[in-house]
Amino acid sequence: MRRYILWTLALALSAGIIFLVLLQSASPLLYSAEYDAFTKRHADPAVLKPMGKDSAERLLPLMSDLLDTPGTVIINLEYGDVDIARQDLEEFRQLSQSLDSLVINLDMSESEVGDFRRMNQKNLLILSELVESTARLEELNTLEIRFRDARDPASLTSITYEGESLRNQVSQLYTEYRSQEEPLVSVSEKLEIDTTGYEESQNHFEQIVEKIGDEQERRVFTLQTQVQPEISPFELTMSLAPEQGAFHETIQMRGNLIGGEVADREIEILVDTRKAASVFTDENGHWEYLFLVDAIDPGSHTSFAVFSGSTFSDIVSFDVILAETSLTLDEPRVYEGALSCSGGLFSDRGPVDGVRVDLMVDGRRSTSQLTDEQGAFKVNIRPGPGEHKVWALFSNPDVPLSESQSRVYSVTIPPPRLQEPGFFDSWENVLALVLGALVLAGTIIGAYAYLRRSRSHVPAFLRRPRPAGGDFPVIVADPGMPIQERGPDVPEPPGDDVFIAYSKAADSNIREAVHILFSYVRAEIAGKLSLKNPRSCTPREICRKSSNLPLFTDLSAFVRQYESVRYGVKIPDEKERQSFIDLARAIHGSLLGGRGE
Amino acid sequence: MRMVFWITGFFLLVCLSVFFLHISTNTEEFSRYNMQWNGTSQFFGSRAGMDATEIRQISDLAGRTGSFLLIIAPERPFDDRESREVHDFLTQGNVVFLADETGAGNTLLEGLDSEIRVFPANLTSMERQYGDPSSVLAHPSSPDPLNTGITSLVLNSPSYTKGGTPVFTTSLLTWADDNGNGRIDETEELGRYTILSREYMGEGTLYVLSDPSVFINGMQDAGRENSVFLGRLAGHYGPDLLIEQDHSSTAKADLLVLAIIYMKSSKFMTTVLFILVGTGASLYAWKRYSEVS
Repeated sequence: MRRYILWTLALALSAGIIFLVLLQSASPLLYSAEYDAFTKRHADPAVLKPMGKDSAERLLPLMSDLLDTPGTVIINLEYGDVDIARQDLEEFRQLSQSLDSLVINLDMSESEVGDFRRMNQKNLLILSELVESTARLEELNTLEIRFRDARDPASLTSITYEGESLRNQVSQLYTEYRSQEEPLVSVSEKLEIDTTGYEESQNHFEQIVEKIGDEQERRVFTLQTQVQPEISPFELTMSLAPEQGAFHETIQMRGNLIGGEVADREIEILVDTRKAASVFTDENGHWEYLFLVDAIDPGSHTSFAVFSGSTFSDIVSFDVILAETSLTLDEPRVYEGALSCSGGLFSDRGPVDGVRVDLMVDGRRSTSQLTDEQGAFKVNIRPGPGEHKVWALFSNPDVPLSESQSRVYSVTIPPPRLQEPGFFDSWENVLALVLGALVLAGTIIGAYAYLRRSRSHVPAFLRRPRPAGGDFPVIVADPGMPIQERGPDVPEPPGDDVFIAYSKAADSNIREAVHILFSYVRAEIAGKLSLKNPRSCTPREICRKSSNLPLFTDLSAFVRQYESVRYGVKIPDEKERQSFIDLARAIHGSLLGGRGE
Repeated sequence: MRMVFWITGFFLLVCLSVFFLHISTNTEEFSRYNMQWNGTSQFFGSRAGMDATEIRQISDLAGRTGSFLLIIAPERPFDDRESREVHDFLTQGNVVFLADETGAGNTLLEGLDSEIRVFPANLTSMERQYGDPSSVLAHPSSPDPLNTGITSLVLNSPSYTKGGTPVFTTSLLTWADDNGNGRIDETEELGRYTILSREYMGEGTLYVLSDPSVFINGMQDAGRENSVFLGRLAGHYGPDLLIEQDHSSTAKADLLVLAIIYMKSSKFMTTVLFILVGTGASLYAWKRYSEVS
């Protein structure tokens, strides 16, 4: 009984191990270098990914080039080489894009390099406008000669006005460029970049401003002295109120057309030489336009009105004020793995509407949202599980509003709640179960077949029926116990069938043959001693249990020879084969009290 | 039967060898008995490492000249007497090379009246060998026999030094990542940090390296010119190499390894072990002979 329990336990254990192995079969990785690649201070280089390119090594030379390029652009403008300046500007733009990519890739937007990049972007904008303004001024110089020769006072007036606007604009650009010098040079010196070229470019820029101013003075002088004004029946006036405005405020531009038929006449209004609007006069020649301060640089701007392309108002100037902004961000709310962020953008004149506010997560722009009439914004994002730093940022160089940033919040997005999948939800589990079941079934069937086969190899005369009603009684051999000569458990004298089976098997498989003989002897002794589970007894155990019996000497010799053949792979000769039979007969005879032979 | 015996014996031998190999190593950082990436077994197993003289106590330095003393990753401070002895060793024309990232070696530097100090920090750089920002690159700064012909070294989360003459420094795109997020933040500043400093003291030279991890196994094949640098330290072209094993983390070992080391180093214990093994083998042979007879 105990043997079957052991068999069952062994089977169950094997099946369990196979089942566990199968469970791992889908992902058989038991160890990888990443498991212990990081200690408190160090990281195993074997698991780190090499840097694809030496991006960082390119950074400082690139910044040095970027600091030198504005000087080249400005010098070319100073000497009137606008086309070459344009080429230099294009190169500057490409270099700037390279820097932008590097700063983003290297995640350095919050460093001095990030500051450099922001100032460089502004320099790029300044130079772009400077190149365009200078190119237009070159055109005005050509036009001026043509109009003067053609004695066209209207056109001459027009370009003089435009020249005035451009002069103001370039002066404004110079002011901005100058304001960049100190912080940019400071950052660059810290990064050991030579700033000489950039500092010299300031002087060249100043020269350009002076040159443009001189040209404009000359243009005005020409208009006033060398050209006879065209006698026009009309006169156009223009005034502004107020003379300065901030973002999303309006400046009222108005005036009168005087002389002749003034009702319902079209008046063009130009701001910085660009047409801003057209309005029509009323029956009294009065016109009015509300200019909305929106996408326009802060600083001084010029405007004038034109009627019929030949009657000009005076140039009037107004200032656009750079409004300071403040950005608020309420504490972000976390719900179901998402983040709800809301806040507001305000200037010193009230809520700021209609501009985009960026929501930054860990230094990168996650999304942007337009502010409403109250300056409020609200966004929902899904930054992924983990701890994040979140803040709002407003930065738009196209509008006269200062950059602002909200306070930074640290938020933790919990990992999604793990829904414990059912066992059968995973195909791997199902596969493992099926395979496990197949292996278990195979093991059981195999074990059964093996047992059947083993039993079938035992000759019928060696099988001893189990006593009815339970196990064999446990009896230890007693030297005083009389030899039982007859009875149900006493084997019959060995017939030729045992030895025939032995002889037959001996020719092909001597090990199996001796086992047949041993099984016979064991069965006889077990029957005599009523041993429990005789098939579980090893030859030496049988020998030991029979140590008090007269057959012990023969049995010892038999067992010794049996082991040498069965386990020692010894091939017995003919004499030794016969010796097996003789010993078996002797044992049998001894069991029957000398009558076995 | 005999074939089975021999095969079983062979597998048992293999298993025993693996087991012995397993118990004779450890995972202690910088340990010379640690064969994993964070140990220094490769350096100590190299020709130079094996030929080097171990300094088990600082007093053993007395009277030596023309030597190069390596103190790798000290884990406990040096007392005044030890500092004085190292100072005497230095001023007699020897070289001391201290590799320390934790600041434990600062007690020695103070005792030597050196102007160099180690500042523990989580140095991080944009100019690096791997994607991990701690794999900082260092470049030669001023002429020195240790950096001649070397363009860069790969480091592994180094600290930095101040004082002395810079021999190796990082690029400008380096910062102390105080919050450990791997990014440069507004409160952190870029700058050039010194990794290896030099100071002449008397007739001798003191070097202080702020990253002992150049000695660990994982950094041996990390690229750049680390192996050239280590070769130079190991004295391929220089004086006798001494390796300090009293304060250094490289001497760290667990009890079993220490027992094996003791066994190997003690002639008495080796003799006892030999007698025990011989007696056991003789007893077994005698028993087998008795059984067969």
